[in-house]
Formats: sequence, C-alpha cells, structure tokens
Amino acid sequence: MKTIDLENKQLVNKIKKGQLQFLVQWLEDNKDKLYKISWSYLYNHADIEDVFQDTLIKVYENIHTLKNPNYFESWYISILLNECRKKLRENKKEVLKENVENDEYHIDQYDFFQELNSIDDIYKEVIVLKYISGYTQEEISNILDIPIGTVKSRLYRGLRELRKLIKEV
Amino acid sequence: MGCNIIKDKLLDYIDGNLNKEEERKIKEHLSACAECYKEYMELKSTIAYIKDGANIIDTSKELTLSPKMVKKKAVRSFTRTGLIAVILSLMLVATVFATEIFDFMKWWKKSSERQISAWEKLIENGVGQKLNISVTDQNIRVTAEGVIADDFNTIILLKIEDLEGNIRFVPGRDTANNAPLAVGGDIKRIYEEISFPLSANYSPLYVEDENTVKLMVYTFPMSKDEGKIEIYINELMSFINESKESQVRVAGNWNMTIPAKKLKSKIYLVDEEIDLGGNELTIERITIAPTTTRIHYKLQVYDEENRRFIDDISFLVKCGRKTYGRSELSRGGAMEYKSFGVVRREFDIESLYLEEPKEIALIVNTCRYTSRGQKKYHIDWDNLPQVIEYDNSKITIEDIKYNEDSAEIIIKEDDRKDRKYIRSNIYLKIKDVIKEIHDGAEYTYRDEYLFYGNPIEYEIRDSKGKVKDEENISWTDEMYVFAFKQKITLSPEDFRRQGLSVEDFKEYLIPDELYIDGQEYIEFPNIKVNIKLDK
Repeated sequence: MKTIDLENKQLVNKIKKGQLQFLVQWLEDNKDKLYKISWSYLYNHADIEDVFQDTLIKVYENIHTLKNPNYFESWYISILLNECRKKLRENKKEVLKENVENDEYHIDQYDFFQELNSIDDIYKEVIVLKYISGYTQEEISNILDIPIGTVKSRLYRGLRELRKLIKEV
Repeated sequence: MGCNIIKDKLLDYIDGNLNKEEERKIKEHLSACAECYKEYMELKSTIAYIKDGANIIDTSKELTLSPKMVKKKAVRSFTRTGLIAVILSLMLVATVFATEIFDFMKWWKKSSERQISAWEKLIENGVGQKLNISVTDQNIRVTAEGVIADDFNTIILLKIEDLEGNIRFVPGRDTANNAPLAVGGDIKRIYEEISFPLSANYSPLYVEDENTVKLMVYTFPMSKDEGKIEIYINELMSFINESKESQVRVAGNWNMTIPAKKLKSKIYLVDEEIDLGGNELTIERITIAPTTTRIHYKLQVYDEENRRFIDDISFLVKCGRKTYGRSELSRGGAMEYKSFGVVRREFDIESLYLEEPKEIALIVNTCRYTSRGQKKYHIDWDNLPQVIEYDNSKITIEDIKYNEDSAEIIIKEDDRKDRKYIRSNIYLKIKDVIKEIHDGAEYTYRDEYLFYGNPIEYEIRDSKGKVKDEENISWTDEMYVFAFKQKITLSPEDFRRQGLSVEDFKEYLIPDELYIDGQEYIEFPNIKVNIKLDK
C-alpha cells in the first residue's frame, strides 16, 4: 500500500487535534533526512530516539504557535536542532562530570562526526543541513531564519574550517 | 570576474545553481587561475568527504516513538497544579456551565484562597512589586495589581472588572484564533522558533464580587534584570454560564505594559544520594527563589531487577516546625521523560524565600511506579467470567455488554484484601487501516489504537489507606485511585475520537485479545534527608 504525504495544512490540523499518529507517519516518511541531522550531533541511536520523542512532544505542545503550515518542515527541523543541541550539552556535562571515556564509539565514524562537532555550531548546522540532509540554501535560510547570503558565507567558512581539520589529521 | 567574486560563486558552481553564462565564466577562470582552481578542488573534496561520512549513517534502525505517551504524560501529572491546569485548559474552551457550577464554586474558592495567600505573603513582605495600572475598554477594566519575577517564573496578578454589568470575565480566544492572553517585552524566549508574543497560562481566582475575577498569569522568566512586560488581551468571555448559548464574548483592547524587576535566587549544590528501593535518586541542587523552592534531581527511572518503572515522585520540605508542600505559585519545573536510563527533573515546593533557612529536611513523600511487562490474553467470550493472571494477581473478565451500537467490557481487579497494586493498565488493541480522500487523492495509514480501561468502581484513598469523599476532595500528592472494576468502552464516539473510521466499527465489536501492560503502585517512602544550606 502506498502512502502519500499529507498536505502540510492537513497534517498540522491533525497534530492540533492530537492525532499524533499522522505526525509519526510523517516522521517515518522523512526519517532519512531527520535521522541524519540528529546523528551528526549525537551519533548514537538511543539519544536520537530520545530526541525524536522530545521533539514530538514539543511539536505537539507548540503547534498552535506555527502561523503558516507550509513552513511545518522548517519549523520542525529548527525544533529538532534545538533538541539535539540540548542533548549534546547534557552529554558533554555528563562526560565532564563522570570523566568517562566512551570507548565503544571509537570507530571511524566517531572520528568523522567528532571533527564535524569540533567546528563552531553556526557553521556546523548549515553543513549538516546542506551536505548531510540535502536541503537547498533557500530551505536552510527558512529553517534557520537567516538570509541566503549568510547561509552561503557560513557554508563557505564551515567548509574551510573543516578542511583545516582534515588536513591536520 | 576577479578571484574574490569567483570564490563567492564556487559553492553555487559546484551545486550547479548558476546560469550558463556565469558557469562558462567560472570554468574559464578556473582553467586560467591556479589559486582558484586549488580552492575549487579543495571545496569539492571536502564536500565529498562529508557526504562519504554521512553515508555511514545507518538510518534503517527502527525508532520507537510513542505518540500516546504525549497524551499519557498530560494525564499523569494529576496533582493539584496539574488538575488546575487540566481544568483550566478545558475552561478556556467551554468555561463553566450550569450543571457543574455548585461543585465548581466550592473547589474554586478553596484553590483560589491558597494561591492568593501565597501571593500576598510575598507581596506584603516587599517581594515583587505592587502595581496599579489599568486599561478600560468596552466598560470592562483590567488592572495589573502586581508582579513577581524570578529566575523560574514571572507571575502577574490581574483584576478584571465588569463596570456596567455583573459578569465575571476571563480572556478568550479571539476570532483570529490568537492566544487568550499573551505576553511580550522582556520575557525570555526559551525557543527561538516559537512566535512572540508568547501565549501565557493563567488561572482565574475567585473574588466575592460577582463582576470581578482575578487572574494569576504565569509565564517564563524575564530576559533582563529590569525591564518591561507587555500584556495582550483582545477578547474577554463570561466565565460562568447557564448554557453554551448564554456565553458572552466582548472584543476590545486591554493591552498594557508594566515595569518589572527580576529577583535573584539562591542556589545550593547538594549532591545527596538516596536509594529509592533499587532506583537511585540524587538530589543535585536546591534553588530558593521567591516564587518557589526548586528541587533539581536525577532519577534512574527503571529498575530492571524489579521491573519497576518510576512515573513520578513528590517531595515535602520541613523547615522549623512547618511542612511545605507543592508550590502554589509555580507551574512546576522540567519533567524529562524517558522509559529507561536516567532523567533530570525538577520539583517545585512552596516558597522558603522569606524564611531564609540554613537547614531543611527534605522528605521523599510519594513514589508512583508501574511494573513493566505486557501480556496478551485470549478472550473466551463463551465462557465468561474468565480469570486471567498477571504477576500473581487474579483479574476477572466479568462480562461484555452490548448496547445499541457500543460494547462495554467489564473487568474486575484482584479482590484480595492485601492486594498491593492500585490499578492494572488494561487495554484492547485495534489494528486498523484508515483511508482518507483529500483533493481526489486517497491516503492510507496503518496504526494501532489502544482503548484503555477506566475505573468504574473505585475508592480514593490517602497515604494511610483512608477513603476520601469524592465530592469534597482537594487532591494532594498522597491521594490515589484504588480500582475495583474497570470498563473498556468501544463506541463510534471513541472510534471517531481516536481517528478510526466509524464504518468499520461493527467489525471490531468483539475483540479477541485483551492486554495488560503493567500495574500501577504508589509508595510513601518517607525518606528524610537533612540538608544544610550554607553556601
């Protein structure tokens, strides 16, 4: 059976009515992009699951503040990004406090995302959205609520920062 | 084109976003300028590097999300503040109608008194600012009487008076569907993406005069130590009504700006570990703010050995001779919700700001938990009553009643006198495919729908097991519903509410399977720890 995307307006109305199964369906349909964004920040499945659940709640609780349903996706992602950052901060605190080395993550991909995480967040977020999740510059400008020119310059700066890191290795 | 312009356009060039003419120019430049060419190659390889990195991400792992948990969470916080919030959110739509007025008024007076006295105690002692700023429109006057702002809350007391009639008015949602009451100005924006001004929660407070209501408005902390808060009200509606038709709505402009100062709170690092019968609880910090005493704690929610999942804990504070309960002025702190692992939560106790305590005793008052484990039972409709067993308790499927177009399943909880659990989580599961036609296209969804049992025979008990009179109850953390019988209803109404298609209703009228997913318990640990507040 084929499932087609609901139009944004309908989706938003469903969420407002508390019929969250439609939101879960939407998440399932857009999982690839959304999962990749979260992974870039957290690189582990359990945290991502938490972040998705927290975002689900935030979206449900605040859906009435979304003025234009056409921006649902942008709005959703801006919340998701916030939740990822929050989780990342918590994790950092946890590690600092308990002074534990996370040995289980010491594999190739960990290094890659650690590199990505070591550049400034304002550069990182545009890079993640553009090259990992495949959003266009215009979409990114909507999600982050910054002008396209700024998206471009941050992408450029971000790529250069990252290149420096790769070279050091 | 110069090198700088070229560099500006390289990303678009790589993306293929440029027109033919620009593309040609850049190609030409790249073949002539070694520096730009190097830049181009490096950008390209960095992008490729990122894309390679992203390819390792395995997005196929299944995510377990629980949309039901969202709703469940709202019901769980059925504590006093929670109850007020639930009732208020209902009232925003429906206000109060004739049939409920009598009981409501009793409850309303009582709960208003508590909030007003908590407020007055602070304001009379010089905490916060007294104000007298009013706006009159449509013969209704709205007065800001005071504000108390701290690191957790900004609380404003408003008075709404009907100058010509005798109606108790509260803010209502206007035709543009704006929030009934919104606040702006120097209020912290917790989430950038949420539109500003922010809609604010409020609770209407009882005042003797029939033309007056006071509102306690709760919102986020201020963004500065000193500033201005804007209040927006564009529609008022009558709060107490004979019927839906008799509700009065008045549009107008009661916007105002008030000055406010944020008061500093005192933070004490505690780091006290408590063993809560297998689940570890750590009191991390205690903050004494004017509106609340906030306990920041860390809790291991699931104890695997005992299959015990802690839903909620509550605290009391003893200071001097007095015991302090849940805060009347704070809407509660953050509740991180997870099924496993460690959560950080906050619990708000009544203000100790004026007492300036040097030492307090913190008491773990209640602990609500659920045993884990889903079990499925086949229902043998021909041989009722049927006894099923869950965790050594004997539960009886007593009867199924068919009405015109609904079915009711009656389930009896274990009837032994020494039974420990207070209620079983019982439900029927319906798997359905929904089809919807919208703009000529057909949409199909598959989902599972749970129909939970509701207690129909029960007692409301307190920590000593004493039975409370439901009519005159004011809920506290220690009170709980002890269920004897539960009922699951299947009706077209419920189907519609859950988003199931009503046409298929008949098909599901005789469910085959019943699920029990855990049983609820409440404990009164009464664990006391003395905490010095000396830094």
